[in-house]
Amino acid sequence: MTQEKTTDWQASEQSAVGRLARFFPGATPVRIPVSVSAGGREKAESEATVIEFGTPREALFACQLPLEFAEKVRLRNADGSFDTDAWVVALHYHNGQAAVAARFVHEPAHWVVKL
Amino acid sequence: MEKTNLDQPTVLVLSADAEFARAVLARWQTERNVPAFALVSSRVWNGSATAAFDLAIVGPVEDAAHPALPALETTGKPVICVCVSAAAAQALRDKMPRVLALRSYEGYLDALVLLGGECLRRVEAVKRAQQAEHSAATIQRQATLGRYMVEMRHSLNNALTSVLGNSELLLMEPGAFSAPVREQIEIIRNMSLRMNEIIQRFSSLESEMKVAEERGIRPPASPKAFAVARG
Repeated sequence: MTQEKTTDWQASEQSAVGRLARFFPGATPVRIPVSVSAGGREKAESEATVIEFGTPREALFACQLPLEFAEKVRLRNADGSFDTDAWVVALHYHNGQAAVAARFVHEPAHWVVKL
Repeated sequence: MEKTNLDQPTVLVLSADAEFARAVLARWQTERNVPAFALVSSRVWNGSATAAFDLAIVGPVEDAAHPALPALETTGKPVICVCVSAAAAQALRDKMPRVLALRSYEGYLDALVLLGGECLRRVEAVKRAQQAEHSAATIQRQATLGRYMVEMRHSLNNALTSVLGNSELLLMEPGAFSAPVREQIEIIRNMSLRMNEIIQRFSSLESEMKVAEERGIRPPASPKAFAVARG
C-alpha cells in the first residue's frame, strides 16, 4: 500500500472521487487496489477498483456497482491482508461517474491512514 | 476566488435516512436538467466542505435543532430543509430565516425538485453576474491604462522631438565628432524616429477605434486584436 504525493490531490480533484473527497477534509490521497462487493446481497457482484482517498475511518473509491446509500460493502485487496466490511456513507454522481465513501464497520488491520 | 462550477452544479443531500436520499435522487433523475449529486450521511458531515456544493437539501428534520443547519446557513448558499411536521417547519423559519423550510407532505418531492431547480438557476445567475462584474473590472483597469497612455502621448512626443532635434543638430556639424560617436548619435536619432512611428500608430489606432465606435462596431478587446482585425 503506497501513499501518493499530495500534489496529486489537485489533479484528481475534478474526478468524482476527488469531488467527494472535498466533503472529507481529512482525506488523504492513496492508491490501494481492492475488490469491492455489495455485502448485503445474496449474489454479491464484485468489482476491481482503487481506493483513491482515505480517512482514518473511511475509504473513497470509484465504483460502477449499483451501490446504495447505507448499504454494506466488503473491501478486500489481492492478498487478503486488507479485508473489511464498510457502510456506504456518501455517494457522488457526476458526469456519469459514481464515487463512494464507505465507513469501516471495524478498524481494519493494515490501514494506512491513521488519526 | 471561490471555485465555481457553471457546467454542472452540485446538490448536497444531507440525511441520516437512506430512503430520503434515494427518493430525492430518483425524483430528480426524471427531470431534464439533472445536477451532480453528493449524498452524504449527516452522521459523517462535519460542516467544513462549504465550497463543494451549490445547493444543500437536508431532511427529514424533526426539529429546528438539527446539528448541520447552523454550519450550512453560514455558507450563504441555498439550503432546503424538509421538515416532518408543520410545527418543525415553522420553528425552523423563526430560528433560521435563510433556510427554506419545506413540509414533508404527500407529493413534497415535486415541490422540492421545483424549488431546488429554481435555487440552482439563481445560483447560476449570481455566478454569471459575478463573472461579468469581474470582466468589467478588468476592462475598466485596461481602459484607465489606455486613457493614461493617451494623455501622456503629447508629453512623450514633446520629449521625443527634443531628443530628435538635438541629435540632428549634432549630426549637422561635420568633423565635430569621431566616426564612432557619430554612429552612436545616428542610433539615437533612428531610435527616436522609431519611437515617433510607434506613437503615430497609437494615435491612428485611437482614431480608428473612435470611428468604429461611431459606426456601432464593437472594438476588439485589445489594441493588438484591433490591429489584426483591420489588417
